[in-house]
Amino acid sequence: MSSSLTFDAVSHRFGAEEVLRDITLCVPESSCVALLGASGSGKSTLLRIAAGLLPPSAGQVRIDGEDVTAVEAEKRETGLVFQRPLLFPHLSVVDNVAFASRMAGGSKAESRRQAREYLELVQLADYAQRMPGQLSGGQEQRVALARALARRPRILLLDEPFSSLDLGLREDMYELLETIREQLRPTIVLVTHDRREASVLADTIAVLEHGEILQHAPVAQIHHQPASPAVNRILGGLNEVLGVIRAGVHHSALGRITVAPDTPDGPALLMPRQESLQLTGAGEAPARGTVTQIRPSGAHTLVRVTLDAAADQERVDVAVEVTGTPRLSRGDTTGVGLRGTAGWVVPL
Amino acid sequence: MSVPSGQRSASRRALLTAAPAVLLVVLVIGAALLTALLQSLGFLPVFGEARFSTEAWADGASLLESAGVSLYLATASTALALVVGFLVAAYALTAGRGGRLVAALSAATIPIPHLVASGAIGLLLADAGFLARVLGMPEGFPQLVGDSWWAAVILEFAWKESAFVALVVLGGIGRPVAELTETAATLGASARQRMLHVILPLARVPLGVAGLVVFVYTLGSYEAPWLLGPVAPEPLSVRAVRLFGSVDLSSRPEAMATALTSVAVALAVIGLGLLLTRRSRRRSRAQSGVSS
Repeated sequence: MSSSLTFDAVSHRFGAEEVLRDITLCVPESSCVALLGASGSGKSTLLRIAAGLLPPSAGQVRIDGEDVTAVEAEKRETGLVFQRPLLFPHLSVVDNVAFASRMAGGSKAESRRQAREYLELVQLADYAQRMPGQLSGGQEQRVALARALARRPRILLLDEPFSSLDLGLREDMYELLETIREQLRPTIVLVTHDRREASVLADTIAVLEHGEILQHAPVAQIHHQPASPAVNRILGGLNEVLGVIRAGVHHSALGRITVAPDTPDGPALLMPRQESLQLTGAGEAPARGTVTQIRPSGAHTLVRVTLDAAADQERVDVAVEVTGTPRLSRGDTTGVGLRGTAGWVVPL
Repeated sequence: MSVPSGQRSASRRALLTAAPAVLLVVLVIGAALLTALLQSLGFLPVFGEARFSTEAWADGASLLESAGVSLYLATASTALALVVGFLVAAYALTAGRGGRLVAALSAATIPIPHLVASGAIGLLLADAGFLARVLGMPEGFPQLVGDSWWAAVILEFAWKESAFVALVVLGGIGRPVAELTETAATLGASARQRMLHVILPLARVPLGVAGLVVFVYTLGSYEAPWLLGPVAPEPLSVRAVRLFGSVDLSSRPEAMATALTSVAVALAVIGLGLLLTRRSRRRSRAQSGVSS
């Protein structure tokens, strides 16, 4: 059931507007890649090209190395779940899930038998005889997922399928998708603008902006080693500390931070995530500053600090995420330090 | 179970709002039908004394023959218009820019009067018409105008009314169907399967309503059969107009009897159609879980 998917120099234009530019991306068999980007970044267009619903202006789409660019959607063996469930309103739940089998020439009885297996997988076997209008939003999306899986696709494409669900239902769907990955091991391409969703569900994340892939890397790596300030921001990173590299050490208002030894000397942005910084006593930290904002968010608090800078250094504001509520107020002096020993920089 | 007072006052308000229009329609149509009935029975004569007579209804065989021709024309035209209109709507919904162009071209035929359209079809399909000349076969060109199968009439009605059907279907099922057909494509449905298993079931109710309107319209319309059909036998509409406009004023009652026969057939079809459409709507509502 599982195959690899490759986009090879894929570009697409809508009239004069180029919405995808030279996209090259490989999705290995049984892996889950998240296409993460804001609205209008081209991620859904790329998914439609993968599904065969849109021909690319240039480039190729390959499944298991075979060029399928010219293969029509109905023959491409991909399953697509959209943001809305789009269940066929004139068919019952079981007949919706049996649709692909029926279109392939399967008998009604056999198609329904198979459909019930997929409904059991999404825990909706008891709802088989209901009509789509009699289901909740979450149940409808489960049926849509079962229907796509019942097609037995070589690639499962998910176009923001959980974005219209409330938070609790979304967590349920994440668990369901994990179960499906364990049992069926499908190759999944997930389009989302939610970085948390991408991080929870995917093995790797490809960040798209203005029709280009800025970086494609494993989830932890892309968070802590972003290729550019844009990737850092898209993944929720709040800190960009300007400094200078000298002999593998970044010098800035945050102090001296060791970076990769092969980093060339010169100006560079240090990008520690807010979770990678910590507040310390003012005397014991290599960097000190003044608290400018304290913003609680549930179990965590985001503290913004303006660091004291030497005469030859830029004034730097950093964000530090701490667990619980710190005993600090605006205007207090605090120390700021990096958890761990090495930092990640992008040379300018 | 008693009806809640809020609901009762809402339906009373709705009735009162509709009352002026309903009253006007009932008055005009009621007066027209009553006048036609009285005239067909010998009352309200153009000249002479009024006396009860069923003479206008006496030629039952001729009336039945005309009714048969009218039913044939309406059935064939409606069926063809439904098929072509549905295909145009399906294409318009699924073929992007090309589809929108086809829908626009199709809609552009709606304002053309039937009289003009009939003339155009006559000039196109007559045995010495445009098509016969273009194909260079004035001798071998099939007789489509004035033939016993009423081909030109049916084609004229189907051409004009298919645009109306397409418009009703497009308005009835709209853009969500385009998304559903895309979904069906990703589930392996071919273009034909998408049309039969997705678009057609969803278009069932709009097609039923449009079919009813087209049937009743073609049953009563006389321009196309009058211009493009054979001289005999006559459909009800042509017979009624001919007798009504006759210099022999004594044929007025017969004209009225013909018109009333046409109305009776139309009412029977409307009744049957509404029954079927209502049943179909109820089934659709039950399927989608919407309570009425």
